[in-house]
Parts: sequence; structure tokens; C-alpha cells
Amino acid sequence: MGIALAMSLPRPAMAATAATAATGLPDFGAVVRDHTDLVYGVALRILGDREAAAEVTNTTFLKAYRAFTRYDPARSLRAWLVAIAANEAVSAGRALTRERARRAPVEEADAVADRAPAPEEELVAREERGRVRRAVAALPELYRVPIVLRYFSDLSVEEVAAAVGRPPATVGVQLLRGRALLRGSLAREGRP
Amino acid sequence: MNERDLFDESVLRRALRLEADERAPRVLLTGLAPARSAWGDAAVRLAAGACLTLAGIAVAILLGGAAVNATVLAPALAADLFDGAIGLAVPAANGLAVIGLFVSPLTLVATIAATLLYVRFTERGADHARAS
Repeated sequence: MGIALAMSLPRPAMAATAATAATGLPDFGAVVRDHTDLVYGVALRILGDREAAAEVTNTTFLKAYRAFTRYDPARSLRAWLVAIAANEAVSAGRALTRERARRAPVEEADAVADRAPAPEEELVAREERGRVRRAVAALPELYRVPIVLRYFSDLSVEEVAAAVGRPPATVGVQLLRGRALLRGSLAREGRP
Repeated sequence: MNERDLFDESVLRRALRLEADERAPRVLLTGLAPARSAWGDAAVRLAAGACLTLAGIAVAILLGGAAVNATVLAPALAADLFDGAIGLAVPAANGLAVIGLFVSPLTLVATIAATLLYVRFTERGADHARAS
């Protein structure tokens, strides 16, 4: 694993790169290189599943590549990609939920946890972060997606609203409600 | 909603941050272009297929319509042509009849004149032979 991009672009991609230079769009190879972690992180935090998040990352960049000539450079590229990734992750999450319902239940959230040895403090902090992430993963999709877009992707409330297609005021309420649910959920587990 | 009832934003941000072992997977750009190309080719093939199908349907409709209508139109067309021909033939026949009124007497007079001239030349030739 790791960010290892194949930088020798194929001809169509090279043509797209030349075209983007003419239209003022950024180079797509650089877009992928600079936003892979962001897109993957959004998918991972929404889905809580690395394999599914990896698939969503590829799908997101594939869709972005196809729609790149229609991308408006006046908009935030980061918000545009996060919106695509969030929508893809939500769709994948629903498919995953249906798939899991058909199969035996598995502990997906634990799959993200690191099992490598670490110093005690770091281990405690890591476990703490893991508990928060599991609590986020357990939130209803309605609150989980805005929480991830706002606190992982650092999008503004307006950008989150545009990405999820809801009014900013609604998103603001959902963020508050999501944080309240998280606090309640973690308090029940023993965290103050 | 009181801030104390909410989960701390900074803790949430730290918790959601990617861990060192949560690096993004490899994204192969080489896979994007063929996918796009294949998608483009499929789109072109689909459009071409749709165009051919529509053109085939249009031609079939035209030929079918022509075949169906020919059985209805052919007798009417033949009748129209016959009527047109009769319409031309009747005035032409009347015109010829009128011309015939003048042509018959003139022919008769010309025939008489030619006969008389022949008789006269014949008689003059006989007189000339007798005198010499």
C-alpha cells in the first residue's frame, strides 16, 4: 500500500492533460496525486471498510476523469472531489449493508484498528481514536456523512451542504445532532 | 443545544485523521484512460447501433407504406392518366374534324385541276406531233 502513482500517463490521459492546460484546468495526474488521501479518507471514514474505500477511491477518480472537462475551475476542486467521493461512498455503503445483511455479521470496524505493538500512551490514544471512529461509523448515514465531510475533509458547512444536496441550515443542525449522538454514544461506553 | 452536550470538535478531527497505516491505496492512472476509451468506444458503438436501427426502421416504414399505398393508388393513378388522355384526345378530334371540312373540298378542286391540266398538256402534245 502507499501512494505510488504511475506517472507515465497513457496517450488519452496525455491528451487530456494537454487539453486541460488549454482550458485552465489543473493536470489530472497532479489532481490524483494531491487528493488520493483525501478521497480515500472520506470513503474510509464513511464506510469503515478499507477494501470498499479503495474501490470507492478508484471509482471517484474514474468519474472525476470522465467529468473533468465539465469541471468548473471556479469551484473548489477539493469540494468537488469530496462530493463525488461522498456520493460514491454512500452508494457503496448501502450496497455493503445489503450484502452484509445477506451474510453472517462481521466486525468491520475492528478491521481498521492497528494491531502492531506501540508504546502504552500511543496505544491508549490510538484506542481512543479507534473508539471515536467506531462511534462515527455507527452513526446513521444522515449524520455520518456531514460529520466526515466537515471534520475529516475540513469542508465549510456550505460546501458540505452542496455536496450532500441539503440546505446549509439543515446541515448545521445535522452536525450538531451528530456530535450530540457521538457524545451520548461514547458516554455510554465510559468516555466522559 | 448546549456545547457541553456535544462531542468536542478538535477531538473529532484528531480521531478522524488518517493513521500512518491507513494510507491510500495505489491509484493507477494507466487504468483510467483505457476505461475511458472503452467507455467512449462503447458509447460510439451504441450511438452507431441506435442510428442504424432508426434508419432501418425508417426505410422499412417508407417501403411498407409505399407497398401498401401502391395497391390503392395504382388504379386511381391509371384512371387519372386515362382521363387526361381522353381530355386531350376529344379536343384534338374536334380540331381534326374542323380541318377536314376544309381539306376535303380543296383536295377535290386540286384533283380536278390536275386532271384538266393533264388533259390539256396531252392534247397540246398530240397537235404538235400532227403539225410536224
